[in-house]
Amino acid sequence: MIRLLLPLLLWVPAPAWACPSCFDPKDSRQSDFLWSTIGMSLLPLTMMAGIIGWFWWSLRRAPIENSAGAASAGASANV
Amino acid sequence: MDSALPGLRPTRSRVLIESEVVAMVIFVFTEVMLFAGFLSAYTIIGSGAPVWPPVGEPELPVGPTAVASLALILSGGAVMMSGRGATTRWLGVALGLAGVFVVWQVVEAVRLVQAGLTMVSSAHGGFFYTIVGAHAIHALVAMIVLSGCLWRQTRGGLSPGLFKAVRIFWYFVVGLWPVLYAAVYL
Repeated sequence: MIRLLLPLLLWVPAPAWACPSCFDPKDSRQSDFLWSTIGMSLLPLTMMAGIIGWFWWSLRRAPIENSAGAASAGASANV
Repeated sequence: MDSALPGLRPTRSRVLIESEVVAMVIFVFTEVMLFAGFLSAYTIIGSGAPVWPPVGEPELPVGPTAVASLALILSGGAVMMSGRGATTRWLGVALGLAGVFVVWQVVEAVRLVQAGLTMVSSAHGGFFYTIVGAHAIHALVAMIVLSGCLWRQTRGGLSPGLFKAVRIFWYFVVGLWPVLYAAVYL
């Protein structure tokens, strides 16, 4: 049954537009829904890039201690 | 960790980013997504309504809330200053300013409920109290944590990592509010 229904659903995508948020694909919500979806998709990626960039910047700023004095510094990296 | 190369001493480095700070950054990450979801739903529902906010609902106090917002932003500056010295004094100032903001939010909510804007009066009312209320709860929790920092500071037991993490949370609360204010009030 699913083998018959799935190609049919893919062939006729219009019902998929009737999502619970849009209600009607032709109304003014569609563009807001689209931009909201784009924003919500890009936001976590932007934040992840920011956090990774911050870690990278912190690592670049940190002096690499590879001397005798470093051994007595007493602190170890946890990040 | 011992080096495999002869002649090299064990490699150690100082703490680059405290664990508390990393944990707080991840937490703030999730909080940003929470409020982004609120704003997304608010925008979509609002754009579908013929008139938004609905006719007949009490007007939101745009001007007085702007003054309260200024107090919140100044508290962010005070928290920033507390990280540079005179921690006890600046934390006290920040808590006072944050208190002005939170008290105003409560007073405003009571007045709006009395005027007829409730969680169930309309979708606008529901969104208003969800978004503004969630932010006010965050501000209140942050104030409690800042008070804990102040108490620890007076006893000399405030760790730098914890204090930095709390400051990040407060910056999030302060930085988020102008976005919410612009979306909900303007």
